[in-house]
Amino acid sequence: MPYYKKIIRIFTRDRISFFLLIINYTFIIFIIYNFAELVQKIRLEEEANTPYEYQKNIELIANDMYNVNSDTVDEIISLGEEYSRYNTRLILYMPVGDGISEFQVDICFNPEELTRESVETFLDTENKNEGVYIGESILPYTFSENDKTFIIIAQDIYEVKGIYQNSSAAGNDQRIAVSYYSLTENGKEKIESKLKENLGMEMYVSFMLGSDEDISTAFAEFGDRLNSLNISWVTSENEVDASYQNFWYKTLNRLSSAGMLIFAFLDCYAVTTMWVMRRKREFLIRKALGAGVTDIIKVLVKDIIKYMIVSVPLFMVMELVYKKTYGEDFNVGEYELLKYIILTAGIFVVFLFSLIGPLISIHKMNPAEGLGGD
Amino acid sequence: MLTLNGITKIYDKDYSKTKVLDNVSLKIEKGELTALMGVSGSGKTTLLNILGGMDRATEGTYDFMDIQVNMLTQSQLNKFRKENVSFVFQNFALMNHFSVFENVELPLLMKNVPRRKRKIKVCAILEQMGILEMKDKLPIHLSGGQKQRCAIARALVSESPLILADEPTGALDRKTSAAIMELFKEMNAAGRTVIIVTHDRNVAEACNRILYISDGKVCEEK
Ligand SMILES: Nc1ncnc2c1ncn2[C@@H]1O[C@H](COP(=O)(O)OP(=O)(O)O)[C@@H](O)[C@H]1O
Ligand SMILES: [Mg+2]
Repeated sequence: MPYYKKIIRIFTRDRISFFLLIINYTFIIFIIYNFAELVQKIRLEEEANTPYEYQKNIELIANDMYNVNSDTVDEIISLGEEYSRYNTRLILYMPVGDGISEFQVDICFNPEELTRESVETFLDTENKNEGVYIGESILPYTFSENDKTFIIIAQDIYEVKGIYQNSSAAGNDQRIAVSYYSLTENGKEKIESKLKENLGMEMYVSFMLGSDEDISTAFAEFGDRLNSLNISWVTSENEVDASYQNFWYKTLNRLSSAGMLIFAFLDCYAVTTMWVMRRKREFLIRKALGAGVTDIIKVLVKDIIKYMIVSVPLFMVMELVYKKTYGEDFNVGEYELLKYIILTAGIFVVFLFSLIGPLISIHKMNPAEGLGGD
Repeated sequence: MLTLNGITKIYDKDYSKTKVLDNVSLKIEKGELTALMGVSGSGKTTLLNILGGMDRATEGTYDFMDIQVNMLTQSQLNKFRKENVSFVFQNFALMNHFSVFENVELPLLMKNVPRRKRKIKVCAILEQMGILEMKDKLPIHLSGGQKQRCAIARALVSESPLILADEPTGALDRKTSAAIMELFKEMNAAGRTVIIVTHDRNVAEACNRILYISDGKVCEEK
């Protein structure tokens, strides 16, 4: 018999169990993995002493942006510094003209140094094979040589192929992207003039900022800083504190994850029990031939591992699709190890516990009754 | 080799007690080929199960060589079966999702025989049984005779000293059952103790000792 056929036989011995188990195990691993990720996130939150969610909106209403000056820019930037470690958006709303339109400054604090990818995802530049397209706000950081324009992004030199003027994704949006890392006086002026230029218009300004400052100290002082701002941000009544959302979001997230985990456990238990009961005769035969509990455990664990070999890659595909749909990164960075330890331990515990019931019932089976007789 | 002393078996189920074996005492010597006869429901399978350590007697003692089987714990009984007894079950008891080869390999697998050695042994036995070409087939694709050969091959491969066969020729035609009986005789000639439960007089006649069981008592014929 050819080798591949043997392998197929091993997996499809009991086709119903095979498909049922593969599907269920894949989901179970998926659920445990996402639970592990949540635990990882919680650890990160504790580490930063602040809610860690994918995005946090802090909305401030600015009464008066007509007096935009370089102080305004400084304030915006210093606010940015304080949040720069988080995936945070600081949105400044300002009534414009008749008060119906609004001027929105949307500051995305990018925790990382400006990289080609971060620039690209920010819609400001567009990757072309021959070079990059950049937004006009990064123009100050370009340099020219031999009639060509270049920009250094994260130590790589790219040729600038084109410049977007007020590039916009949706109608009246106008974006400026600024790399705080390389912000110079020139850059500050650029922002200032951009703000002034567009006063009275509907506008959407994005700042991309980064910082090395120790954020836990900066964040602790954030409340004081807000109150002491000398420009006319109205913060107290109109500030939409993100923490309310975080609390419910977090609680819901944790509850549903715990619920899913229980569901996964019950599912695993039911499926494993069914699977073992389908094989009752086989185990009776094994017992009759002298198999002890350890022999049975060996058989079961071996088979579970076999199913895992199929389930784990399936889970990976599923996770990838899931992450892609939600636009999340596969990589959360720190605490990767913790996540994988929880994943492995979780799978181990769930499968081990799901084996207890079936093992007891196998242990109770009497081969003399199941097999003998006329 | 094995001695039963005052073995009584009572099935206690649903408030009704059935005394299947009543104070049975029996001695079987090493190398004997014994037939066990009796009408249906007389307790042949029950006696075989007790001899094979698969079931426990309600009363009485059972000695197998120097092992006092009735004193063994459940896990010791498992080990006892693994090491000393080969069963040929009435209904073949083959694992349906496993190939002929895997079915026959099972006792060796449980004795932790290395892979290469298993393969050599199993193929040799299958060859001897004349079903080597069926080794990758599933039991459902086998005829009754082939299934029986497969079940016997599994009993043979582990080389245990006691072979218990429960109506091994029950489902077979005359010619095949004669061939199967030859196999048992061969095994017996190789020094193994064989006990065969049968309804068939021809089969019993081929053995060198016939026991008859009725009303829970075992008596000698001849
Ligand atoms: N597990 C059991 N529980 C209750 N009664 C049983 C059980 N096994 C067998 N019996 C009864 O014991 C008697 C003998 O059964 P068995 O040993 O299978 O007979 P045989 O193999 O000679 O046909 C039968 O009356 C049967 O109903
Ligand atoms: Mg019977």
